[in-house]
Amino acid sequence: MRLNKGEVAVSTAALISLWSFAAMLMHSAMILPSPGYVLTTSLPAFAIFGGMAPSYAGAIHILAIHLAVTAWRATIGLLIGVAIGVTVGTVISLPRVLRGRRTLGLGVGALKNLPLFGFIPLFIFWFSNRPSSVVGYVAFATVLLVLPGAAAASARGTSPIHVDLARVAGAGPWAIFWKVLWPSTWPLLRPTLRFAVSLMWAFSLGAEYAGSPQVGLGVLAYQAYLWSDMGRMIVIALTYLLAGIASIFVFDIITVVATICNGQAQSSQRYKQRR
Amino acid sequence: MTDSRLAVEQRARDGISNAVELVDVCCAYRTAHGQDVRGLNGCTLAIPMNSSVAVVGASASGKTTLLKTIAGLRPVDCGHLGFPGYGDKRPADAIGVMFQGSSHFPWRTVERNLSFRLELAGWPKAERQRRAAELCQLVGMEPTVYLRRYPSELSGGQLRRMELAMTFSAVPRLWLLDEATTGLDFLARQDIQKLIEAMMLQSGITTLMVTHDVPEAVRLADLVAVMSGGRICALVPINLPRPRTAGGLPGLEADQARLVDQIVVLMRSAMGEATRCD
Repeated sequence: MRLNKGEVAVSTAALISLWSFAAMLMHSAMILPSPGYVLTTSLPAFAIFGGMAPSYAGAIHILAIHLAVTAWRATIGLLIGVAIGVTVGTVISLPRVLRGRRTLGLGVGALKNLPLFGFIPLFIFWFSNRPSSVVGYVAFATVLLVLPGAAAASARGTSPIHVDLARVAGAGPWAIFWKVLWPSTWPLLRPTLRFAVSLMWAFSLGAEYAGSPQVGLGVLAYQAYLWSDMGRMIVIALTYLLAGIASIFVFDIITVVATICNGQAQSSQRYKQRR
Repeated sequence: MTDSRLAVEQRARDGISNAVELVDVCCAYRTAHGQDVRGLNGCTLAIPMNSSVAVVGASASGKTTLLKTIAGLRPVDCGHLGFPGYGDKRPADAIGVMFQGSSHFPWRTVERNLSFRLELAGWPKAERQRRAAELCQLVGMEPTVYLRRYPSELSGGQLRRMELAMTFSAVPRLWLLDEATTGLDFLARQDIQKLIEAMMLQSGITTLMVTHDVPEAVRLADLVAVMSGGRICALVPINLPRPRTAGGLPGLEADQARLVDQIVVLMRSAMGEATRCD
């Protein structure tokens, strides 16, 4: 379901009104600050982390630096995780290894039940509180998230007949991948990857929060927690929200470009709708 | 020595050129469930140039394996598979295959399905579009109406027409059809049979078709091969005038019915022999 701009504006206004009302009932900025308090007091306070007096410009500067570092770590981890997850998931489901699919399928299915955030201490233990622990953890969690989806998409989306059809038409391995495997699995794989893109922020937050490296949005969240500053926590949560929306937007643009390059511009969309 | 092997050697002596020759071909493969299956077990068959051969037989008799082996999708474990005129090489560009079931790409439009092979061959886009329109017309579909449609927007009969057209995109010399009319209603089946016969007569293409439908084999083929246990058990020449699918020729129905009865008896006998061998 896609909301129109009017619905988004109305629901946002309703949410802010509800928040204001709840803050009024609480009477405590420590438990639930009002939107006005967050905007006028909590947000400018971020400038203090840069050794500046509280100001919007300083706060945005500080938030941008920490956001950029977190985005960099999360993106690198996501790319590594997607590359490994999609490759392994696809390979174990290729028609040539169908015989092994049943056995491997049990293991792949079990991955879904792993408590992903429970692995954070393990990564801190392995990598200490270096940035590599965040990247490693995001990659690891993304692999576990993407691999079952990729395996299922490849197994369900690709029919051996399509591969045979391409082979008798003279397609080589690359043409089979690009013209058969990719377009047939993409409609099934896309939701998993989109989900991974939105979750990479949660993975990075968890790893930064627990690992406490020097910079990153997770570090700011940890410091806000130490100071029991609910206002700053809300600012960080909203920053994550905006970053998540922006990353989904970027993902959608990249997929549209890749689809056009594949020559499936309209067909993928219409095929997906019909499917 | 089997009858079919004798027939291959006799043809060679008579100087009749064959498009495909199989001599004692064996082919084993492993199923998705890990079972080893001997799909072809000493299969010998010659497909004369510009003729049509129909392979009939019970389920799991090796018909589809035969077709896939000729198409190059299954390796030959023993025996000889040759394409006279091409040496030991398989003329991949000259083979058009229509598989059982969904023999198209559902995420591509009709136009892009028809031009898939041409895309791989590096044809320019304008040429591909022109050829796709030609192919659409060849199978009786209006290009302006159907080229932009998706397979999910076509009926079963229209899908088969599109799939037949796909096999013709690169002007093949050998046409391999696996149960081309299975799953269609009576009228659509008749239409597709007429289309296949018309395309065969127009192009003079060598055709190997696999079918469960014996009357269809008699209507479309010059030679019916009865298959059982991975080998050809009997060959029945069909010497009836063409076109046979148009109807209206006096006496043809009776001749067809007689041949159908004869082939069914051979199939039952072949199945009995295979069972006894097991």
